[in-house]
Amino acid sequence: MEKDFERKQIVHELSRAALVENGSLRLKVTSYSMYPILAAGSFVVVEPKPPKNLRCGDIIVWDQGASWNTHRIVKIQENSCITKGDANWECDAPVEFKDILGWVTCIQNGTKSWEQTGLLWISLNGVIARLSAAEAFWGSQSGPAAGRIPPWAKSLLANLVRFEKKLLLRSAILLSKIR
Amino acid sequence: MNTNHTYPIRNKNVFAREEQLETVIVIPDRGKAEVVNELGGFIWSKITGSVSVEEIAQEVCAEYPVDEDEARTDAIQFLKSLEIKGAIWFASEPQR
Repeated sequence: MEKDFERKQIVHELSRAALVENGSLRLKVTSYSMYPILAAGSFVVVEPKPPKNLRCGDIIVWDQGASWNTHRIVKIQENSCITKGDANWECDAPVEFKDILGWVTCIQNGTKSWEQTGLLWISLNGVIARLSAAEAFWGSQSGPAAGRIPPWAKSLLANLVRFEKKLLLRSAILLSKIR
Repeated sequence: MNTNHTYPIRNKNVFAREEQLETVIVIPDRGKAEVVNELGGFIWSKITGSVSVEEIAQEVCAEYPVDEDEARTDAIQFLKSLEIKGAIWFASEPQR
């Protein structure tokens, strides 16, 4: 177990060096927290990006010590940002800029590849980030909306936002597949 | 092309670190990481572009108690698996 952890740390160090030196890094996704845009088994191409150029909606990869995470920015703060997995209800703990390794510039799903640097995806990611933040607002167990409105109304609103977000994401994925 | 007389070369984008009994190889373009054992690490250290597969097999024989044919077959198999993973490529001439 300790050996596995050590190996993982070495892989992280080497990957970090590769990202800095080569300017990009391909990573395999291992979870479904960003489903439907990312599923376990798909690949992302990560490139460095200065914190001042980060935008709401960017999908970023950051070092959380034991693991690297890939989630979407839903809010940018002074020295950190708030991220959330598209399939999660809750936002993550703030991610400090120094822990960010880079942003996802391309998603490779089987034979399909979606460049995230184009206008379509940049605009869409911005909208998804806002919907994702709204989803966390209504859907979170401990969020600001908790206790202020009846639980059934909160749940209804959260699910409506989630439905809208999923519809938008699926349409974009479908559109990208057709083009 | 006879693999024995080719010269394996590391892909310049690949990063590796030799540890005590194993070597960790990260192949950034493929999103892959490989952990190879001591023998794999020994072969990896010989991949310089100026040493042929045949010479690598001979060095394996000199270092480990293995039959020469077996060493050659194993070395070729290992090097080909590294080629498939995008960690190395084979040149027909030695690289200086």
